[in-house]
Amino acid sequence: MRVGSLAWLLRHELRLAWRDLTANIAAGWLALLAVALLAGLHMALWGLLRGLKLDLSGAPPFEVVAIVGLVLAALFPLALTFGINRSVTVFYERGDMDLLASSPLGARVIFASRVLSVAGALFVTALVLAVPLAGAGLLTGAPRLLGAYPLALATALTAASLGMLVTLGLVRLLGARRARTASQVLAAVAGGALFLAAQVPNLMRDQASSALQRWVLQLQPLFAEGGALGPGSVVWLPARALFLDPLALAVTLCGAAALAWLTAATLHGTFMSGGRQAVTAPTRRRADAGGVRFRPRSVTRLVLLKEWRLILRDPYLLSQVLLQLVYMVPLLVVLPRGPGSVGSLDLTAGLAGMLVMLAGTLVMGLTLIVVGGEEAHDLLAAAPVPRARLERLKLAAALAPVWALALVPLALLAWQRPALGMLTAVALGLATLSSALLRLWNPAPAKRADLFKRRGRRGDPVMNFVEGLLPLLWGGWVAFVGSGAAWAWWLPPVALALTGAGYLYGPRRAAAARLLTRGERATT
Amino acid sequence: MTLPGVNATDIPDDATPAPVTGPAALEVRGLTKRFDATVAVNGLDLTVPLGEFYALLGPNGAGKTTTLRMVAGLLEPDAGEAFVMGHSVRREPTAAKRPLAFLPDEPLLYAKLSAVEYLEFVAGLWGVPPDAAAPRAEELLRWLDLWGVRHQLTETYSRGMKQKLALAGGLIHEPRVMILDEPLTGLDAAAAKGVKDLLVDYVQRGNTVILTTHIMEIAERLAERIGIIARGRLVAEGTLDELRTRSGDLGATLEAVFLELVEQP
Repeated sequence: MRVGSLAWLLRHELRLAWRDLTANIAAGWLALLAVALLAGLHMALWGLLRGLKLDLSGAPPFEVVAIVGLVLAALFPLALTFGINRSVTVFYERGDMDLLASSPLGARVIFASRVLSVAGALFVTALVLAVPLAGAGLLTGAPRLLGAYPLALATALTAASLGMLVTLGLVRLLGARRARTASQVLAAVAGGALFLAAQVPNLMRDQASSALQRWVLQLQPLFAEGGALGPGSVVWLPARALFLDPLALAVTLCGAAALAWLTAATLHGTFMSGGRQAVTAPTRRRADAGGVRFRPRSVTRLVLLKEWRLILRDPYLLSQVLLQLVYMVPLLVVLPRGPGSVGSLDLTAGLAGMLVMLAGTLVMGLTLIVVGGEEAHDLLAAAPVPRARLERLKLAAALAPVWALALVPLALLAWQRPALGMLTAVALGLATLSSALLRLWNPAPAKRADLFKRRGRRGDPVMNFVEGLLPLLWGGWVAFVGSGAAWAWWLPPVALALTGAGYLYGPRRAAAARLLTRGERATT
Repeated sequence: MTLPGVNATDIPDDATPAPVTGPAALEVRGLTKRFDATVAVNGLDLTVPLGEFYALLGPNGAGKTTTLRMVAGLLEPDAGEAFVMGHSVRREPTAAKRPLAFLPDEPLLYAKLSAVEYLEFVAGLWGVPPDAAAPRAEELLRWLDLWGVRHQLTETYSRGMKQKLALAGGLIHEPRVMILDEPLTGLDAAAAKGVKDLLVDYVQRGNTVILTTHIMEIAERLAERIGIIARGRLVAEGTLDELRTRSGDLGATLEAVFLELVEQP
């Protein structure tokens, strides 16, 4: 392999991508997991194909093509999100663009290797579906489904290219610095939206199906012969490619390759110019006139103001905190119905419990930022303000906004059901306090940008687990006791005991961590 | 270039360094720190009187930074004590930290705060009244050439600019004792000269500067006294001439003296 060639650079890229993938899990476990997943999917798809009794000896009927096409359309945003995510990683988070751009390699080679490596990562992910589909096809006597492989390749190339175009389009639109934030936020939002979309069937378990049927009927003319989405339409080409239709396959693959080539060839300039701007472009410029005026503020107000400014000016961190809330939404669906064994829950009490959980989780995210994300630890440690006071202020900075946000729903609740309102207020106070304290006792100092990444999130695994459990316990207490389930009075003592255990176990670790890192937080 | 506004109120400007009465700027007794098996600082004793320019020299890993971090209250010592202006860092941390500015080698700022907001925050931490801090912030920002970018977030600053802002943060509360870890790394020639002038001027006004450096020329030209630290201990201390006498070569450069002293077992 020639040094400096596209293949050589691509190998380097793929090695880094592999390290990303195996950073959290040993390769052996990963292989085991992959085999188990593939075997399971083989079985499931085999059963499905046998049940459908499709005749795939010739070209598939249009209904099958249309359903496959719709499934592909539903899956593509997933691939695109992944593409955007990887683009952000390879362009902004890995931090090697300066090294590559300063090397004598051609910009085109650099850019092509990036597109191909993102596509490679996507292809590997797509294989999770493609391998069992093709395998089940072979088992049920439908070798045409081998088209899953080239289709996965084409999808990977397309999603990688579009992901990069979106990311770099943002660079052109907003400038490199803000584009980085915007694409990170976009990837987070897209991930959250996907997660929510996956919950839709849950949310609309009952009423929805009839409405959906009516809606589909209205759309039917579109799918008729000669309609915009009729059997002859080009939109079905990728779906036909799945069944090894030669023309469809050729068009899909060539289209994807052309898109990838175009992405690599035309957009490297955008990035190169944008990438250099990143260092120098000022983000905001207020009027330069006027002297310096400081308002009289106590240390308390100064610290709170500083923490809130730093959070509000960091949309990426905010989006990550809100994303944590999105991941709690499925509970919103499950909780009001209640698991069968404990009887059904009262809807209001369920929502009150949800409020407590959300508040606890939100405080945890904010505490992670104000405590773990402190940038000038040495400055605070050298200041003539006692450490305990600064820690209290930091906790207040995380707690106050959440309490303020919870005030309105709490007031509504108390107005409707005073007793439940009181219970919720007490639980919310305890849940937020215990979450904040536990985070404080389990410091995981990291760069602010890395705070919400799994790898950035160190700290003690046991403490992390307890931390995730606490909001559930407090919220469950409100939900179940509010619904008249007396057994749930066991939950608060458990939560308090866990918090106490965290205090006994955590501070020593915290002290040890402080000494070991020697305060060199930003660099570790 | 003179430093705006830094004045040690109890020492008249024309005074020659008076014999030291009262507490030393810094006193370190038997300071010890272990990291797992390695002893970073090993029973270190050190006294720096008020109004002195003191340079701490040592090879990499000698324990310079660890010592300074313990003095600034950033790191708990395993044994021994440090006093800043007579106040024990361990027992009266607030009183010991109030007259002290510590500047680590890596300027740690808040990426999403502007220079003005940063200085306001630091002044507030040291309890400087806003009426006194604001004009001083303006002077420092103008003097350090940061006036034009004072409302920009510090994440847009170059490394040198960040270092200058960290320095302004150290000076805004008019400390009596400044501890600087490798203060000139990353500064251009003009800025480095400015900082050197500032430190000399600052000491002439009766304040104390303690710095670590790898650059012999700085220690040789600026420092009144030089301490050489190796393997966590102070192996030699004195003026440049005293150190030369110790090494037995009166014409020697500080570099030669340093290398000889450090290599002694």
